[in-house]
Amino acid sequence: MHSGEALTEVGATDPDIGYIPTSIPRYSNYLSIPAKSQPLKANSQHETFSTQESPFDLDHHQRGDRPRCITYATMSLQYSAVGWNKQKKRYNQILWLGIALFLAVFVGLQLAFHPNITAETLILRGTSVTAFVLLHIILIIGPLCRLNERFLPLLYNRRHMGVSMFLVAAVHGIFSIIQFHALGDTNAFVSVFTSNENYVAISDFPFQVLGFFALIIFFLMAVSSHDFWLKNLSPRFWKNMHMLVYVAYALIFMHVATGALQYETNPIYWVMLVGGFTVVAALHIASGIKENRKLRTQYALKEEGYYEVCSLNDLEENCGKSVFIDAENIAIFKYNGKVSAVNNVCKHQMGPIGEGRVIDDCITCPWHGYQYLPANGQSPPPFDEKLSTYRVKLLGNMIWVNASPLPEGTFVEPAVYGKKLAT
Amino acid sequence: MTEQIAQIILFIAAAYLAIGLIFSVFFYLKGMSKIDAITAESTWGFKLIVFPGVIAFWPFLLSKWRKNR
Repeated sequence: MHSGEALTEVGATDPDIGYIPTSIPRYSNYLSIPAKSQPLKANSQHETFSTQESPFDLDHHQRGDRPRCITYATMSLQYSAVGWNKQKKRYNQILWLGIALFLAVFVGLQLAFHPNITAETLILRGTSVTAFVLLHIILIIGPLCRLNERFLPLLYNRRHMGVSMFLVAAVHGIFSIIQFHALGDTNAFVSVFTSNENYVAISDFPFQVLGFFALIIFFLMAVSSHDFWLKNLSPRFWKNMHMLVYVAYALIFMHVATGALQYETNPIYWVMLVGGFTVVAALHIASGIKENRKLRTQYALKEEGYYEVCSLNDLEENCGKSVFIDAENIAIFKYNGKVSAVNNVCKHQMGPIGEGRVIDDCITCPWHGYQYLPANGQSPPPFDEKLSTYRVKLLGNMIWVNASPLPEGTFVEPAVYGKKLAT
Repeated sequence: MTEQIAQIILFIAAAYLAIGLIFSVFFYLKGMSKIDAITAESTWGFKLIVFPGVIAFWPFLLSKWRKNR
């Protein structure tokens, strides 16, 4: 990840499954506050153990007019299988209840309209349609959050939604292979590729192959949905691999178009397929336009590499502002009588640092609570994540930023604008 | 022709996964804590949940393990 890398997507896939800290360094008490003045809901992944408070006692943080905070631990010292907390449990309850209800309604409708339908067909159709709908929901969560922060709670545990979608799709895939390919003399997996060899046809295309490859992509994404993989495959590789969800979506689109829809006469299925694609595409375009507006903002170079970006009054205390200058994605923070600037892309999952807040003297990413010291961009010890920093100065009431990034973790004297508050 | 290609692909995939399975034994014994010290104190649930990934991504883990030696 380069310091100037622009944020292109709100986490194509979003991890969950966290760590449990074994020791509590001062700065591991992450209080993540999603986007200033936003009613705070669960939008992060990991809970932490505060030295003073219950890790799951969310209401404990409601004090005065301070936005509701949630404790998270993203940068702790031990991995666990799943870092459950109250929000995640609730998220999953709603998710699986929704899946069960959807399946029940679908099966009911199928039985009503096709009284002679077999159990095998019901399983195949039910799992395929459920996974298909889940995939669309997963794909639109990112742009929805970019367009409106109120959707952030949906992002909170999208990782579990993705894994759930894979499990449902896997049932469909495995059942299909058993049902249609495992009963002959040919190896079942070979049969997937050879039972229909009309690879140049359109209407009779071997659509099973498309679904097979999509399922492999979903498998790779599901098994790597843990921060262990994010760290050890490297964030860049991990992110790129998870962007394959769009390739999988294209394969699924064709799988459905050349498969089930060749046999279905009811136009509702075509409406669902094309309508789903239209919604996904439209939301991505709309969020892309919104992002581009930020990129197009022009800042006039004033002197010695510094750009005048905004007034002090444009920033709320302990809040940030994202600016794009010379292809640099910069987050400027006003805190404790000082102003600092760091790269706007979180090392964890490329979250928008500038939409976070300063909590416990640390810039806190709004997505998963990763923290960085404003003056040097370093995560507090024992963590070793580092962001690029930028020189900042104040002229009168105006904030000026030098868009040349300094090496990650470089200390930059903050610009001081007022009396430092007691900490 | 298609069947032959499919057989070859299947054989390569099976070999890849078999190597991954063998690799996982050594990885859990020594490699995991070498590439990521945090895993030493991690739970068995974590180790179980990353197991499919160890088999799927073994070349990446092996590469990182070798670099960390």
